[in-house]
Amino acid sequence: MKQENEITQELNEMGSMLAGIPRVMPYPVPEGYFTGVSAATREQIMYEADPETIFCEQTPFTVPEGYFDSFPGKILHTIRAEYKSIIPPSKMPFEAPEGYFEQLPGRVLAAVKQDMKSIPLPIPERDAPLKRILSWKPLRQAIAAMLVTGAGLGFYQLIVTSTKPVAQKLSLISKEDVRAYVLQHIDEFETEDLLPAVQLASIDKKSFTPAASGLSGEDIVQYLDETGWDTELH
Amino acid sequence: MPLRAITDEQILLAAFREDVTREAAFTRLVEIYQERLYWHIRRMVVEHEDTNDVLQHVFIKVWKYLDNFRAESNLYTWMYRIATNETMTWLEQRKRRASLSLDDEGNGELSGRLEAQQGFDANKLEWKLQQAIQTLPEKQRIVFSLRYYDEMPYDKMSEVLDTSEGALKASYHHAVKKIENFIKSN
Repeated sequence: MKQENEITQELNEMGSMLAGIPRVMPYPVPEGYFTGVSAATREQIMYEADPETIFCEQTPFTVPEGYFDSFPGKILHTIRAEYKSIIPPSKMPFEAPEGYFEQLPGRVLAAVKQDMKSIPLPIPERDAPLKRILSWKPLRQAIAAMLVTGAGLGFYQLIVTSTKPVAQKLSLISKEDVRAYVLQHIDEFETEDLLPAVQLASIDKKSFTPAASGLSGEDIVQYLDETGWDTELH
Repeated sequence: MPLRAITDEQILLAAFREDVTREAAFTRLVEIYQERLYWHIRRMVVEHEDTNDVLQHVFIKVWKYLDNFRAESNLYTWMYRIATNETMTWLEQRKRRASLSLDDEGNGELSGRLEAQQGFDANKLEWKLQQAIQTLPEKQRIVFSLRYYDEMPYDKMSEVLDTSEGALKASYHHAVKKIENFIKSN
């Protein structure tokens, strides 16, 4: 009671509204719960100490005296009895004639020799020699080595030729081929890229007059209209 | 003297150390402390079944370690300390389980458990107070609960929580302010 007053007084000193709230816990507890806590705890403690004790105590059945002592012997006896009836004996009921296995190798050998005499030798196939040659291991290894060497030389040649200067390679191409390539791929070239390579001074401007090109003034105006000459000129 | 009448800690401990009276002494110990520890745990974990599990663990630990209990500290604070540690462990486990199952396991989840309680009425002040308490951080909730409900003196709280009295007073005052603000704004 004294402590309770102390708590309330403390809250009052703090000016807290909690001082005026009843300190009750609203949670419900199952009826009779607290009367069973100690018993439940003791049971749990006993179970943790020896689970088998609790298990045996809780089992309503009884076991005949000495049952577990004789159980291993009984189960072993049963297993042995069943084993005899299921697993067949190792001795076979059939018998071979006396001396059969001793004479067998000689008999087989004699039969093979007889067959060799009576059966003609097989005619070799046409490609049999080639197959025999190809099946010779050293030869196969030599062929593989040659293929690897050939591939290596080819690769080396490719690398050596590819290191030649570009200008030297281009000089081997004829002017006609270059012109044909440029005309075919004219759309891929940017004007700004081409202009530095053109020697403007060497161009004959007269050859670009409408009369010289065979174009009429109307053709030129129509072309400029189609390509948006206004925007380009302004 | 029948054990039922025993309330003195020293006599109870002596009885527990004797094989003949061990179980009877333990039963008496449970009877004395069960309700206080129950409510201490339940204010933290909210649900009865969870509280029961934690309380069982607490008393099992008491049974295991009571022989080693040294009389320098109070049996009452020693048991509260076990109960607090077991509760904190349980809360941590629940958080881990929730994080694995991607559930929301914060104060929001606790308030959900609170609202699921039988007789919950958000308009009643005692329930509103519980809602406010659930918004506090775990350790501050324990401090508030020990002081406000268990009426535990600060020196005893210091033993239970291994924290200085000054820090506990500051924590309690902050908790009171937070709860007031919650109640006023809700």
